[in-house]
Amino acid sequence: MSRVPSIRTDDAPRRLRAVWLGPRGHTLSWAWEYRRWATFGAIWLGFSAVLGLILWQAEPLLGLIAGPMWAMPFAHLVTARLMPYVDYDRPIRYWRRVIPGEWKRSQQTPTGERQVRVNTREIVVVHDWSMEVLRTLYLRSTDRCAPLAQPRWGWRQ
Amino acid sequence: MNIGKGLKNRVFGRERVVELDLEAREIVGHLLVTRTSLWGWYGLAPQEWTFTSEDTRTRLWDQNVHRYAQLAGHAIRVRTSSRPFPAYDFARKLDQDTPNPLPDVPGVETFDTYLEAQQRRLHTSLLDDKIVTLGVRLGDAPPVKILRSMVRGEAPSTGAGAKLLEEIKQLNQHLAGTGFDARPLSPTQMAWLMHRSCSLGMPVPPHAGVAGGEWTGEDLYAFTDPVDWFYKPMGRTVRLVGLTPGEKPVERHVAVLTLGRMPTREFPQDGIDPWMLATDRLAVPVEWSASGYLVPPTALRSAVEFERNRAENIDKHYREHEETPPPAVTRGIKEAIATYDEVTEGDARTAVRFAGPIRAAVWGTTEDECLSHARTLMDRYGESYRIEVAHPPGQVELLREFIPGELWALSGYQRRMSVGYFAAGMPHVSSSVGTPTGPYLGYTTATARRAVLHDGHFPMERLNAPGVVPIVAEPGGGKSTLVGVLAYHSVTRGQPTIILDPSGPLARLCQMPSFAPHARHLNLTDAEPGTLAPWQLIPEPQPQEFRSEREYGRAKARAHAERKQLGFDTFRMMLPNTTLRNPATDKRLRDAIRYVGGSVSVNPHQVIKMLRAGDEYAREIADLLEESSEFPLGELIFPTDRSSEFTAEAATDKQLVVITMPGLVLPSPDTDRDHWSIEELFAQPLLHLAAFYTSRFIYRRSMGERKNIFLDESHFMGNWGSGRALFVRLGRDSRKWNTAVYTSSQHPEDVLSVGRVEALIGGALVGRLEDLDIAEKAMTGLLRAPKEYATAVTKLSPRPAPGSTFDVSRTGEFIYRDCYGRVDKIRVDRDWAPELATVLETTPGLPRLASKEAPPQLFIDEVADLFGLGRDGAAA
Ligand SMILES: Nc1ncnc2c1ncn2[C@@H]1O[C@H](COP(=O)(O)OP(=O)(O)OP(=O)(O)O)[C@@H](O)[C@H]1O
Ligand SMILES: [Mg+2]
Repeated sequence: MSRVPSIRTDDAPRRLRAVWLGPRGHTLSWAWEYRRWATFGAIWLGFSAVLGLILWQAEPLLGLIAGPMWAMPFAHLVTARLMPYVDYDRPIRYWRRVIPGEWKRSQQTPTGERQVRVNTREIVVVHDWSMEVLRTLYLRSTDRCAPLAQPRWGWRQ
Repeated sequence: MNIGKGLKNRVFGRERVVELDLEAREIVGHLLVTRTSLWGWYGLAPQEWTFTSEDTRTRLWDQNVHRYAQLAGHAIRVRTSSRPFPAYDFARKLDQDTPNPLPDVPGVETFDTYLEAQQRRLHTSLLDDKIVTLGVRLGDAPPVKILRSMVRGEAPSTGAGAKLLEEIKQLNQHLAGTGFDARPLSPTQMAWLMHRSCSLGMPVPPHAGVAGGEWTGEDLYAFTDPVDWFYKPMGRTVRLVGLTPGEKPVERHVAVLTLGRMPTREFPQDGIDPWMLATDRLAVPVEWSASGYLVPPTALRSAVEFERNRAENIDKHYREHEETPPPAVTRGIKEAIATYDEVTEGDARTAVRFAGPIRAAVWGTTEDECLSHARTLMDRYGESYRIEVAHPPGQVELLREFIPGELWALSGYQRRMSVGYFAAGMPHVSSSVGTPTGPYLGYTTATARRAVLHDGHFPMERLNAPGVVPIVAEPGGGKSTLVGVLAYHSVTRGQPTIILDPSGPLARLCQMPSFAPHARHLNLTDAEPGTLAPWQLIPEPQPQEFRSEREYGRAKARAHAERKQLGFDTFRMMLPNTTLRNPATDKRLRDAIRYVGGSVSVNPHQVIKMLRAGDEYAREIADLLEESSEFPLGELIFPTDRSSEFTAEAATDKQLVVITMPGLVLPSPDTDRDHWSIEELFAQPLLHLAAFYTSRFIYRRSMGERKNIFLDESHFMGNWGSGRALFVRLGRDSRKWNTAVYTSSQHPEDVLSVGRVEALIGGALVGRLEDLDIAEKAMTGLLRAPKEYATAVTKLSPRPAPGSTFDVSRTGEFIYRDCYGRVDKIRVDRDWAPELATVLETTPGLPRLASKEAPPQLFIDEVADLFGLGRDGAAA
């Protein structure tokens, strides 16, 4: 049989992320992916708006100029904190699904009030594939099941 | 501060209960109907993997790739689970297969205790059977009407119904092909799988089966009602609480892990196991769920093209800025081009891709235990497979994916790989070895731990194959222990058993209270003169054994020839090498023997007399033989008077006979014959003849009765023509006379020199052989496995490394070739019967050590570490 070529996943090209290197001909000294710029931009805008509005109360001009300026380090800090959680395997789309999902579709209080539903089908005991097998021993003399004193699943406790 | 804490607690800390609303709507036979889809569920048959050649592996893998590739366009889910070893069934079958167990001895062990001890062992160990199921999405959920008519077995009235039926048939047929050998799940198995998935890690309740093959609407609550799922937002585990009415709730903490990046591999040449198999080796229960689409090439084309373009553009962008692109980009481009080529130009095997998440679930009784299991798994994959395993939040949704019919996430941890890579997971290769029925011998240790049953009479009764099983290992390799365990089983099951154990430790079996009244210890050194007289040791064929006069005549001639050969060998064994080197010796001996003939009544003294009548050299030989016959025990071979038919009758009234030869100085197989002392020289023919004496036992009982013969320490057998003839005769007669024969020795050559062994043996057990050349001989000759695995033989039952102590859990390891030709590494288990363990202990001082330090119930040692049993057990 001939040698089979190596097998691989398709990860290598799919993991690549484009970075923005700065304006043409002027390479920035840091290379941020586009999605990081976008995140940074969005957070900066949000912070600027909030800070700007607060400062606007005191002095409109201060709000307009100092707001975005002060928001910038905050935005940078927050982006730097968040970005490690976003990567190829955990894109932003993934977080948009997971985070709301954790607080959705569930009841707050785990009480025993849930209605007890009655099963309509006749239930039979099947020896193979079932727990019954686990709790019993086969003995010749009695030709019946004897309870196993130490259930299999309990021994680790 | 407090407010923050309170808020955090409010948001994260409060446990929530999950509304388990299943997607499944109906289960009909192996078909599962969900809100939107129709799935078919199949069980994959176990395939052989360990100790198979690279070609066999490649072929199996190739078949798997083909099966998956043909499913292109379908969504699939591979779901592995495990079920406890069916010990009850095992015991029932063993009992039915034991019509006449050893009669009870008042006050001690009965057959029930024997059954119980094995079942307890099997219950309390982690010897689970693995179940691998494959779900295939057949299409959209069909109208209820079509389904109903299908259930009733009516011919489909509509075109759509007929089409669906045809599709299902085709799928069944395709999956039943080699490589998968899949069968549609039975309704009981479906119910079991649903239960198992809803209550992961919990014992399946007794009502896991339902009358009839159909589950609809309300019935499905039977899966979700007995269990509650609790979780904390962004928590690490899901808490499952089982509510079986009238019983204490069972709690499990489950963590779901998901696979990240996977390395490029050369499969199967790199010798690393299939990637889903590693979990079998962990002493931690793990279940898998791999869900995704098998994407056909046409659907992939644009995505792959986009990836290639993007990679190239990234590269271009760097170059525009006169920067060197990072190596990852170059690599990405290379692989993107290769992928593009595979998808556009390759055949189905290379083009089809699996796309979807791959999850593994572990559980424990406490959250800590569960998380530590998760770490074990991550560590194993990181270390030996270079596969990233992540433990993401959103556990409930991940756990849901394990339930058949549930949806799976389409974002995050999506793997995309060729079907070749996916097929290299091979969750269904397993380590099944041994006979389907029979007593419990031990468990496999190479990949997964599975119970091994061994019934020595299975090859003869069911396969019409010989029942000789050679056992080969170095001193301390566990041969005698193995023989002891096998003999213990056969005697307890009431089968007549004879053991030749020259050095004698197995004689202790006779003193076990349950065996004592049924056992006899025969000391050959005390036996009647002439007991080992060569001419009487070959049984005379009985006319009723043969179909025709001619056959009988031939058998008689064969017996005569065998007697002469045995006499010849016996005399030669007594002569020193210097005499043997003279070619005249053989001639004189042969002439004398030819003259006395091969009938049963010949006395060896007659040969000496014949030699005396010859020339001077012949008289010299006669002198040497005369001298030997005057050694102590010489009268066993040279009776003074014409020997009577010897006393083998002493052996037929008891179930267990152990023959020993205490005080005999056995030569070491490693020293050259030139250097043997006279005592050793003389011990050899005695040992040789004792094997013949023991094997006569076959013919003392009725042909059909199950019998067992154990020849411990049958070294050098293959060096002599008569020894090889005995082996051939045993091989031939073991089947006819329904006798399981086990011969143990220290060198594979003892058996291999016989010639075509594969036709004579019904299996083989090879223990540690430290020399690689010898190990290779055993591997290719006895086990018939590729030579490359010989190193495995050298590493069995390892001697303790400097500074460490004797590891009891690594003793008694053998590589076992069963009667079907499957090969796997096993460990012989003798500890389930404490009585047996003490009897078979030959390591000085070990019983004392064990009773003090070993915690009770330790079976798999890794488990002890995992659960901290080692420390606590000792402290308690
Ligand atoms: N299955 C087993 N379980 C536990 N301990 C074992 C097992 N097999 C072997 N041992 C240990 O190894 C020791 C030596 O085993 P055993 O006497 O069977 O070796 P052997 O191959 O017969 O050696 P020799 O060739 O010297 O007779 C035993 O005393 C026992 O402590
Ligand atoms: Mg031994």
